[in-house]
Amino acid sequence: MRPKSLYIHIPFCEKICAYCDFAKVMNGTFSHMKYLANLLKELEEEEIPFDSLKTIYIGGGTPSCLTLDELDLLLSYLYEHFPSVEEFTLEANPESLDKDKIRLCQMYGVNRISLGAQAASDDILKTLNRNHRMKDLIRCCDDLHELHFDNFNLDFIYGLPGMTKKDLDDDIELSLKLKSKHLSYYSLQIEKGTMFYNKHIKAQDDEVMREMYDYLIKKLHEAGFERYEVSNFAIPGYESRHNLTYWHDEPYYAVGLSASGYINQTRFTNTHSMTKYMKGLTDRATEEISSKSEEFEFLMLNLRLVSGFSLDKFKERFHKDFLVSYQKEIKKVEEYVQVKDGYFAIKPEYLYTMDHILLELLK
Amino acid sequence: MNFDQKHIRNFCVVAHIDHGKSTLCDRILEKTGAVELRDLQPQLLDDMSIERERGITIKLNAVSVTYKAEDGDTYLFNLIDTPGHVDFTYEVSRSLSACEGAILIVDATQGVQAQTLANGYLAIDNGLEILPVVNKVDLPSSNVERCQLELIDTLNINPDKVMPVSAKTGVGVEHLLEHIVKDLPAPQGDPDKPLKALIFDSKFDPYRGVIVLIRVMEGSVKVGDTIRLMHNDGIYRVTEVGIRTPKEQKQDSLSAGEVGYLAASIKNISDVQVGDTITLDDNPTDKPMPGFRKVQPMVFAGLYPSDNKDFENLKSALEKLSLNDSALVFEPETSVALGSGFRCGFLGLLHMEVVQERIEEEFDLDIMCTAPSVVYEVHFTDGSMKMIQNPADFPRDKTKVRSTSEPFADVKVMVPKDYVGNVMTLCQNRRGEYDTMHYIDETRVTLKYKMPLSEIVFDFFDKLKSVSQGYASLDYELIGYEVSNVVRMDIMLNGETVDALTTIVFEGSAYRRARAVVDKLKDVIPKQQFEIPVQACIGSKIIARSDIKAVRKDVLAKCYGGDISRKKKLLEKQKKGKKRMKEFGKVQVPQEAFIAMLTVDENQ
Repeated sequence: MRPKSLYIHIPFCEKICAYCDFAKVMNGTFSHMKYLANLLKELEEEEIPFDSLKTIYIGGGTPSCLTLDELDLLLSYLYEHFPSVEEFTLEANPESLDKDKIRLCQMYGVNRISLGAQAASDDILKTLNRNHRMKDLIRCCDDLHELHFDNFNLDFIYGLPGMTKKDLDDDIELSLKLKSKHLSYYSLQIEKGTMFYNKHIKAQDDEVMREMYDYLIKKLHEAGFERYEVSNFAIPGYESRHNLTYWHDEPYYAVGLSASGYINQTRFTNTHSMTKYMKGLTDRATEEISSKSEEFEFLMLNLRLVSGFSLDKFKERFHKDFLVSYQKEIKKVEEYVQVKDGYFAIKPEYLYTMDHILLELLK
Repeated sequence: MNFDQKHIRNFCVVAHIDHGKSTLCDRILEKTGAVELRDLQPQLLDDMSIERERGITIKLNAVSVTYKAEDGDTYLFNLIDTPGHVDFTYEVSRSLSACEGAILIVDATQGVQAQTLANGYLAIDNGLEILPVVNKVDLPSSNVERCQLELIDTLNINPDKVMPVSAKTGVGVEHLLEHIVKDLPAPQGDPDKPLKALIFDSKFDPYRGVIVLIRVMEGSVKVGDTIRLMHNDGIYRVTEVGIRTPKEQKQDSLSAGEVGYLAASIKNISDVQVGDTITLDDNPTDKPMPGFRKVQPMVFAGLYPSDNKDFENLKSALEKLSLNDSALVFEPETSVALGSGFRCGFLGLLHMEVVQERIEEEFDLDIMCTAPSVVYEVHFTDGSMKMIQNPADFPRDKTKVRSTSEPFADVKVMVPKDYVGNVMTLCQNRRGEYDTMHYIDETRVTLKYKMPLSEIVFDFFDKLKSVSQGYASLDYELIGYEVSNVVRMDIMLNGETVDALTTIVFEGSAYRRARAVVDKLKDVIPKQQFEIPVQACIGSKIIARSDIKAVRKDVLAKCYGGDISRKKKLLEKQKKGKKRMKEFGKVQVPQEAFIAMLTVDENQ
């Protein structure tokens, strides 16, 4: 299968968030232009056919901390080269996305913005070491609406130590007030090497997380947002097509520092070293995916979706009947899964404990 | 290479664990030129990878080296390395009988320890000349004088004879080599008498059969001789004799005073018993060497393949391991919970762990090991008696039981006086019966207790180390069976009894133990989608319960492009761990649960 999606990584950040373990560098330590030059060179080497892409996602880091000119260079290039793109997302931080940049996005076909909102409280934003405050977020969303850019997503984090039900209520209230079409609510996960990790901060325990999660689903549902993936909610029709590429276990290109892609049955990850990348080296670590592994990845990813996966699609891809081939494994988890309208899925109430189910399905 | 007896020295090296035996042996090999410096892997005599990893010697080993002494003559040294763990005391004793002398090592930073004494006494009892060495003198915390004083007080060793060395840096080793020549007696057996050779180790070679390590006491043996093993009357024709330098070197013959190996197309290692005497079939010696005994396993546990399909593979792994390990015994058994497996006997817990690791590493098998147990005697009212190796065979109903007994041991603990209270509390908690206490010097004490073996074999040594900040040392000796009121404790998971978790416990502490066990199991058994009750029962009575709560969250919050490989590897790793678990009904139990059963501390 030929990839229909492209991920582009922009590693620059004004400030390092306390929970973030993505590849990033402090703004000002490396030349943006030189990075972009290497990035475009890498992109050219991929030889992506002119009309093959359906989605592009520019993530980070903080892509919005590129200057207007730099952004112009990148977006115009992509616009010219990949005219068939249908969903084009730019990740942004509220403080660095202004009207000019929004207009630029509109000019070059960017039709989806993903904003790091994270919390509805300046105190929590401070704890998270975010560079923006509430007023920046409100201003940014106002600008988006004013320019009729309605298709945007807000990212939130829950489960910080000390976070109360009231805080969660505030988050939900704000996210609804800002009228986005898409919401991502991520439970705080402390990753090695992050500031939180080094400060020995612990996320709330699983019981509290679960309560918050169940509450979220209910509240967002009442407001018209449907959960379609473990941490993702959308007004129907506004699901992220790019991210669905990952969860459908389909191939995708990726360029930029530490970017990961999946082409020709091979997953790869570029170097994490900015110095190397700036020398034009991607130093890709590759892993060829065996057919057994591919099957497992397919399940691991697709089952994150509330809809699960189409049994026909499984058959088409792996040339066997899932329900027959996994009969023994399914038997062990039959209480937690369902087959409905030709789709196999984890029952929604067990999505939050799906690893236990996956482990049974893993052959 | 031919040496008359005057130019041969047979000696072993004995010490407490970790006092540096293997390192000193390495240094001797290097100084005598037996091994080129570049070939010298640390602890060369330790063949097994587990030995190297753990830094302990399990199987003993013998090496012949030559040494040009200051008197201008060249001597043949036969050096026998000995294991240094309580599980392997018999292996030490048999290697001592093959020698005229022993280098007794004491760690200069730790002083005399329980096994320095145990092994030191063994060597003196065997009539060996002792060369006392204080090792690790390069370390700043070393205290040679203290060691000298302790050696006079405990083993009556002349302080002037104590040699300071550093096996690590090589300091003092040349001096030691000279003293091996000067102080140790040469062997004296008569080469013209009928053959009398002691077996002190054996290993299996797929081409030549069992390779036997021997010390020729009297007479000689050559290729083509027909030999007899005196304890099992096996008759074999010698196909090869030689010495190890440490590479094997064929010789025409081995005669009185010499140490070497012998091959005679012996098919089963169980036909060769360590401590047995070899003689010539047509010209036998009148008496075998004294001190022979069959090695008795002390601890039994069930080994089961995680995947029942691997039963035959496990069987062949055990067969192969027992080729080189005469102390390992096994026979098939079945468990309702675990399926088909083997009840295996081990010398002790370390031996059990070694076997377990070798099966997993060398044969790549996933196995489950049930809680180890000693052998209990059950005396029934009808006068019959049954030896119980497997707790699941112990009667639930005690109405037909007149009495039960279990093996006891005399335990000797040496400890600095500041920890006496801690050690006594520990011994008391382990049903120890106080015997005596005496001061070795003003700082150290020997405590003697009588204690059930079941309380010693599992984690007593670890606990002893932890209550004494690592200073206490342990030695014990079995004294036989005594009456002891023990009962069978079953464990139910989700309402179903798991026979593999059944243990035998002392009735007086059954309640405390049950509570500790269910709490521990609650911690080691992973959460599942539903709540699982863990119950301990004696007979039909539930005496403790703890519940494993249902899992509430385990999903990864984000799973995008870059997370996929990482997440998959994580799940695969978990799956691997899961494959090592056993399912009881719907409950999955990890291997640790079986061991956790015995390492619970009911006094906390």
